[in-house]
Order: sequence, then C-alpha cells, then structure tokens
Amino acid sequence: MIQAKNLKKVYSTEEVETTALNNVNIEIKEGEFVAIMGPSGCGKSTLLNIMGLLDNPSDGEYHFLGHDVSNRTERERAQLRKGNIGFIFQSFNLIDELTVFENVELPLLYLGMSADERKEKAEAALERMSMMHRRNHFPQQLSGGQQQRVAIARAVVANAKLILADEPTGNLDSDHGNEVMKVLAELNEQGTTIVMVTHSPHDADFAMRVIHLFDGHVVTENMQEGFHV
Amino acid sequence: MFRNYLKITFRNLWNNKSYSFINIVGLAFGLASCIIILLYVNNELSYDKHHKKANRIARVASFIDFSGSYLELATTSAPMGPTLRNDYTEVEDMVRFRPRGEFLVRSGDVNIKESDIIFSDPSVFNVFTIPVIHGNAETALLEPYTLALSRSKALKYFGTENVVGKTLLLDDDQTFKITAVYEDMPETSHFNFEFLLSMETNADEANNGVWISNNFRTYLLLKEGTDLKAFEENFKSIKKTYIEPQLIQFTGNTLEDFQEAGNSIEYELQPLTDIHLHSDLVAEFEPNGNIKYVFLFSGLAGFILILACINFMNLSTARSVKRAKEVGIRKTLGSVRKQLVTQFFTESILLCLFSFLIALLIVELTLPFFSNLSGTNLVSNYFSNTNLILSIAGIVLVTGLLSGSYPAVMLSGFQPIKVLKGVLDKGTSRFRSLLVVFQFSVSLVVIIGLLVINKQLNFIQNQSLGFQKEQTVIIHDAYTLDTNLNVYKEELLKEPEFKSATISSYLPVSGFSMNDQTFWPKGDDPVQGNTSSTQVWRVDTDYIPTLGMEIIEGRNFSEDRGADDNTVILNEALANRFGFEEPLGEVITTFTQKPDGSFDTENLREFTVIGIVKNFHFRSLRENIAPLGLFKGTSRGNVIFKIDSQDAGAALSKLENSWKEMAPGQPFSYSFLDERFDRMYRTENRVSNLVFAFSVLIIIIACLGLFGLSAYSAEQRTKEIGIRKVLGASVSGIVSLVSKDFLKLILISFLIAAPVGYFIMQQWLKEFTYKTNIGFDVFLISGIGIVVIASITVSWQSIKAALTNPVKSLKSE
Ligand SMILES: Nc1ncnc2c1ncn2[C@@H]1O[C@H](COP(=O)(O)OP(=O)(O)O)[C@@H](O)[C@H]1O
Ligand SMILES: [Mg+2]
Repeated sequence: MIQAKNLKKVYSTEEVETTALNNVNIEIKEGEFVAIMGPSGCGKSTLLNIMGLLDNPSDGEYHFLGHDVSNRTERERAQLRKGNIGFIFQSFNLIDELTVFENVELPLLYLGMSADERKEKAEAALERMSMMHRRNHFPQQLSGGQQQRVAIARAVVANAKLILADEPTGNLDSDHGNEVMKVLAELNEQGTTIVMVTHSPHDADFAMRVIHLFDGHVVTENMQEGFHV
Repeated sequence: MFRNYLKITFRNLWNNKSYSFINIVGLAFGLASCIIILLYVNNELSYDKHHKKANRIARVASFIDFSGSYLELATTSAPMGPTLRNDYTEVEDMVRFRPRGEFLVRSGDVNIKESDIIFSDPSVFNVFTIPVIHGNAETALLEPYTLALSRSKALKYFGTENVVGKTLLLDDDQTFKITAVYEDMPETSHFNFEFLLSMETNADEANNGVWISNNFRTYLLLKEGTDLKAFEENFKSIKKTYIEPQLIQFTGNTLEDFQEAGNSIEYELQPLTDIHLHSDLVAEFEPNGNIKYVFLFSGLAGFILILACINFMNLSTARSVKRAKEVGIRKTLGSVRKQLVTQFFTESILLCLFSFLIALLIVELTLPFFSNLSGTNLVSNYFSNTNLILSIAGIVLVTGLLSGSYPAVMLSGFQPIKVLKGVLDKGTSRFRSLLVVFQFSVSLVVIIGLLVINKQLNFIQNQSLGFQKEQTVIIHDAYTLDTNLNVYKEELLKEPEFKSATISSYLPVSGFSMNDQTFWPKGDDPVQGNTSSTQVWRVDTDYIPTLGMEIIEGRNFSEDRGADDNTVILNEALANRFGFEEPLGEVITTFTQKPDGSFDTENLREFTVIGIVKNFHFRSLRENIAPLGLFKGTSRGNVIFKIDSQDAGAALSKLENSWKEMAPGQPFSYSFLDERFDRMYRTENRVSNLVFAFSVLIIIIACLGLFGLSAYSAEQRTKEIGIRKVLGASVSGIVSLVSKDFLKLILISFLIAAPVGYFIMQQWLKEFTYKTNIGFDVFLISGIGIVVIASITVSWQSIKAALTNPVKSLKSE
C-alpha cells in the first residue's frame, strides 16, 4: 500500500535548515497495524504527514496505492486523500461550531455524497464508536475520550483504507486511552490499515510492527511477537 | 455544502456575539449612511430629468461686462427667444419666464400672498413636460389675463380640481381667467411655479424689442441632433444685427467702440439638466445644488463604507487563528482552496446581507432627520429608479466581497499541518495596524474638515459686517399701508419696545431690491472708462442709525424736507474706486432714464458727496464689497424697526395689531434681519450639519473597530498578562502596556491626516473672500479629541484584562 524510498525532508527557515527525515525506507502492506516510536523531534509527525499526503517530501520516492505521489500539487493530493485516508490527531481537531454528527459527516460532504447517504454512513460510523446518543452535542460538551472517538468515527466514515493516527492517546488518561486503542485494533481486524505514532510502549503493543525513528533515521523495525486484542 | 457554510456562519456569529455585534452593527451603519447619501445623490442628479424633451432644452445665459461690473445672468433680453426661434432653423420652440415678484391672490374671502407665480409664454406646455389635467394646453395662455395653476393651488382656492373658467383676483385689481390646471411640479425641478400668467398680459415689456435689458429667463427647445456649442457660436451674429443698432441709439457707440472700452456681451447655452448642479448665476429661480457637494458626499459615503469593511477584515483576520484550525481540518479532510474561498465569501456576503437589512431599518428611522439636515425631501423610493437599485445591490455585493477578501484569501492559503500546529499571525498583525492607521487618518481628516467649516461659519457670524443685524425686524410690503405708512412708523415709535425705525426697500441681505446704475466723477467721459457700476439705494434719514451703520467722514442726510436731494453718501469702496482723496464735496454723475427704461444720454444728473459710510457687507461674504451710494429718497418696500426689548413676541404683536388697524385685509408678514443673514449661508450650514452627522458616524465606526481589536489583543495576551501579574506587574502598568501600541498608531494617523486635512480645507476656504485661517487650534482640538476617544475605547478592554484574576487566565491556555 505504501512504499517510501530514500525519503528526505528538509525544513529551511530563515537561518537554520532542519533535516527532519533522512533516507527513510518504509513499506507498509494492506491490513497492517504499524506503530512509529521515537523521541520528540525525531521526525515522526513529519513522516506521518508525508504518508498522509499533507506534505511533499524534499527528496526520494513515495508510492501510495501504486501511484507515485512524490511531487503532487496540493489539489491533486487533496483529491487522493479524500475517501482513502483518515486522520486522527492528539488534539482531536474537531470543528467546535459543528455538532458531533456534522463533524463526522464533513468528509462525505467533500466527497459530494447525497444527504441520505451521508446520514446513513455517518450514523453507522457513530454507532460503531458508540457515539450515536451524542450525535447532537458540540465537541466542547464531550470528554476527551469521547471526542477522540468522534474523531475516529470521522476518520472511518468514508471507509478509508488507511488511518494515520498521531499520538491518538496523548491527551487522554489511561482508561480512555485504552478504549481508543481497542477501537483502533478492532478497525484493523476488520481490514483497515493503521499507522500510528506513539510514545507509549503499551500502545505500541497493539501494533504488529514497531518502527523506531531516531534523528530522522529508521533505527529498527520489530515484528511484535504476538499482539493483544 | 452551502447549508454547512450557513451553519458554520450562524454558529460562529452566535458563539462570538460581541465580535458579531461589532461587525454587523458597524457594517449596518456604514451601509445605512451609504444608502442615505445615495438617495441624496440620486435626488440631486434627477433634477429636471422628468421633462421628456430634457436633452433638447437649453437656457440662454448672459455674461455682461459693462463699465467695470461683471454680471453672470440666468436671464437674457426679451427679444432673444423669439428672434432665435424665427431666425434659426435649429430652434424648434422657445419659452420665456418673467417673474414680477409676489402677488396677492384672491378668490372670495381668501386673499393670500403667493410667491411662485410667473409670466410665461404659452409654449411652456410644449417645451416642458407639465401635464395639464384640465383645460387645453395648446390654447391655455394665449390670451391676456389668463392663467394656469397647479392642482394643489386649485384645491386650495376652490376646494376642487376642475376650475377652468373660474377667475382669480390678483393684487386686488386684476382679474385673471383660469384656462388650465396642471399637475404639481415635482420637487426635483429647478423651478416650481404654482401659477403661470399669460405673457400677453405683460405684452408691453415682452414685445418691446430692447436687447440691452435682461429680465427674461429664456429656454430653447432645439431640433434633434443640434450641436449646442456650434449653435452657440453660430448665433453670435445677432450681436451685430440686433444689438449694435441699439447700442448706437442709446450710447452712441458701435459694438467695436463698446468692446474696445473693455466691455463685452456674451451668451451661453446651458443644457437644462446641467442647471441644478452646475449653474450658479445671478437671478436663478432658487438656489441650486452644487456638484461639489455631490462629490463630497459621495466621497464620504465611500470612505464610510471602506472603514466599515476594514473593521470587518480586521476582526476576521484577528480571529483567523481560531478559524485557522477549522481551515486545517477541512483541508485535511479533502477540501480544496476554492471551496474555502467560496466558504469565506459566502460568510461575508451573508453577514453583509444581514447588515443590509438592519441598514434599511436605520435608513427608515433616520431619513426624516437627514431630510431636515440636508434641506431636501429624501424618500426611500428604492424602486423608482433602476440605477438606484443597481447601485445599492452593487454596494452590498462589493462590501461583502471586499470585507471577505482578505480573510478568504489569507485563511484559505494556510498550510494545513502548520495551521493545526497553531501558527502565529505576525504578518496579519502588521496588516491590521495599517488598516487602523488608515481608518483613523480618514476620521481625522473629516474632523479637521468639520472644525474648519464651523470655524468659518462662526467667523461669518462674528464678522464685523458694517451694520447691526441683531434685534431688527423687517415688516414686508410696507407700501400696502399706503398713506398710513408714516403714521404706522411714528405711532409705533412711541412704544417703549422700539428704538428707531426706517422705511426702505433696500437691505444688506439677499432677497431684497438691488438697483444698479452707472456713475462717474463729474467731468470724466463715461465711455472712456472711469465709471463704476454702483448700487443706488434710496433711504431716509433714519436708515443709517437704525441699521447701525457708521459714518466715518461727513454727515448723514438732514431731516429738512427738500434738503440734500442732490447729495449722496458713498461707501468706502465707491470712494476708493473713483480715487477720491478728499471725497467730501466731490460730484458724481449719471444718466437719467427715459420712460421706456432706456438711458437718456442728453440729460445727466449730478450728486454731491456729503458723507462716507464705512463699508458694510450687502452680499454674501464670498464676494467683495461692491461700490454703493445711499441717496436721500423714498422706497416703500419695508419698515424696519430696531427693537429695544427682550420680549420680541410682545413687540411683534404690537406691530401686528397696528398693522391690522392701518392696513385692513392686507397680510402681515415680517422677518428678522439676523435670520435673513443666516439664510445666505444655508448651504454651508447644511453641509456643516451633514458633515457633522457623518463624522460622528465615521468616528463610531472607527472606534468600534478599535474596540474589537483591542478586545482581541487583550484576549490574545491573557496568558502574558497573567504571567506578568504573577510576577508583580501593576494594573496601570498592564493597561499602558496594552494601550501603548494602539496609541502609537493613532499618533501616526495624526501625522498623516494633519497635512492632508490642511490642504483640503485650504482649497475649500478659497471660495470665500472673507475667511478665517486654519489655526493651530484646529489641529490641537482634533488631535486631543481623537487621542481621548481612542484611549477610552482601548483602555476599556485593557483594564478588563488587567483586572482579571491571573489564575483564571493562566488556566485558560
Ligand atoms: N514546519 C517546520 N519548520 C521547521 N522545522 C520543522 C517544522 N516541522 C518540524 N520541524 C522540525 O523537524 C523536526 C521533526 O519534527 P516532527 O516531525 O514534528 O518530530 P516529532 O513528531 O517526532 O516530535 C524537529 O526538529 C522539528 O523542529
Ligand atoms: Mg510530533
């Protein structure tokens, strides 16, 4: 599903040049659950953003679903993203002015679906995340764990093949964090590919494979012995 | 998708009530002033357009430079119109108007003084579009002693519309037969006649063929496709064919002699639809508008709208950090830039429509007030004119686009990952500062303008006029007292309320008689030059003391009957004009007039100078004081009383009671000299009032914006303020910290606005011959004023922020 060859990402500001990624080679197959770990600032988020087509690499090749997408315009990337990739963030990133239902429905709007279809799918996604009873609430009225479940519902509503999660439990206490991890594991079981950045070894245990990054390099890639459900 | 935008818009509005309030209300006030100004401009521009042949009608104006006096007249001679119609194929028809002052109009017991009454050629109904509702337009004014009147006057005098065949008695001695009733003339017409008297009634003057006296307003209806300028050039030949023979007859000079002596006669054709806004000649029907003020107010409207849009942009960009998150999420979820741009424009246009509805309400509520201020009857007849609807729709759309442009372009350009990380807005804060500086510069320029206009009006009020205008009442139409005139004056003078009184037609304010004659020092040749066109005012011995004029040399006329008949009191301007060093005893000369009004060059009259009166203003202060002579004699137009009492009401009722006794049946009418004087500056007063109203608006809008920005800035800095307070900063220290940045911007605005305002107002003052100076005080007042207003606006928010418990603000991050 994903092939990265010699990926390189350099951020240049007025004075300094930061090499956030250096010669990263990664391949991720459909149905995998991969965790990315590493110290703060080692380039995890940068890698995830490139995988999620939010950013272009400075150098190297990146193939997504068989397309070479190393250097696409924002517009083309947006087109590919829609419906294929779902995002989950540490800070949830729900739109405060929209209700739970409207937030979840949003990706479908950009896909141009009819209202009926949107309603059906968004409600199914909310049902799956056990958030139907909160469909008319605003994000601010929910707990962190609930907000993240809504964010996950939004990520899966369009049947995304790939879900990218950047420290999805970072803002949650351990109980809520566990809940979210179980949901992700479930999704993976149902066939969704998941790539997750995390600091927590406990969370990483849910993944099949852990990639360790250090200073922009892939240090090790471990297959987990057997993972918990 | 659109519904999604709507939802976001309304929830954003609702969740940020104070921002929304500032945005919507600010914009609503901006739009409302724009609409009001648009209605005013539309009204001004629509003058005389209702005449179907308007674009083929032109008025003949005369420019006469004769013996040192230059006159730009809205009138021309009696034969001009008929001659042009007969001699030139370009002229299809013509109509002349000749006013003869006011008339008493009687029907039964109703006897009322009417002023909108004029002699007119019968062709008036052909040239102009004046719908006749009863009677025959083609024959209505052919016969002598026939008249046509407006619908409302017919109702007023007879209580019914169809009054054709009935009669009216004018001035109690002339019976006119009514031959037509016409629709009331619209207010947007440069003339408004209630009565049209047939020109045949005035045939002697209308057909006298005298080319050198100019008393007729003449309108030509030109054939389709006539080039105005070319025709104007073409008909110049009438000067040789018609005017020269009369010049020779009356003055003994050929046209060439006449022109070589520095004199000239020129004619110009004024397109009908240009008259209201572009013509300001002697003897206009009523004071016209001025295209300059149309521009001025259009400019103000534009600025007000821009300021309101700037508020909108400022507040939206200030809040962009928050909206940025939304943009980031939307982009992550697959939105493309175009969709975001659409979303933000939808939002601003929606907001603008919302403001527009409020603006319409404001317009309805304030229109009577502005009608009053502007002295025009403004009505919100949006659908009367497609241009008007289009311009209003255009303004709403442009406002929506303009105010949405910056947020739309800026926000939609955000990189999603950067935004989601929480990007800082360094660049936008500089842009906001720029906008604030612009807003306050404009506000300051307007304030400076307002101060200068007021200063000039005060200057005029307090100008030494050379006469005293206070406590002086003018009783009009004194001649109707007939033989009782002197009795009336003497009887009332016995009352303690009246200090002195004089009888005269001449007064040093506009609206009264003027009488021009040519004089020269005895012994000079009038054709060669040292002549002066001079005001000849016939006054009695009480005139100078009653009006508080000052004799600076010589003496007043003597009381003795028959004495001083051939004497004159010159004003300083006339004495200077003739270069008299010892004016007392000098003799000045003039022609006498023949019974037909033409000059008798054979018989001259001589007057000996017995006194010099200090120059007094008798026209607008826009003009220089012209040469004038006071002559002992009678002119019975008015009795003027100087009141020596605080109770003007009691004095007036005494005047009225005696009037009713001595002039039974005659209407009593009066005015105060100082009010008459103020009326000459009505336009300036109105402009000043309007500019005042709009500058208050501009300041409110600018302050609303500043208020919003400072609120935002305080909110942004709550964490910083909290930390500073924990570390020991005082409330005042924090207030000045937050306010400082804004005050700096205000100071920069002042530095920009001061020279701009100075330059603009210097230009405006050029219109006045007697003018105030734009002093230091103007800048001091405007500068301090704006700093105080801005400080109050800004510190409100900073104090609130400074007083917040730091624990609270630190938790909020
Ligand atoms: N937009 C940016 N501009 C400049 N440097 C950046 C930017 N984003 C990230 N970096 C730098 O790139 C490196 C990797 O960042 P990131 O991928 O966010 O690390 P992680 O997510 O592993 O903590 C860091 O040194 C960070 O400072
Ligand atoms: Mg990170």
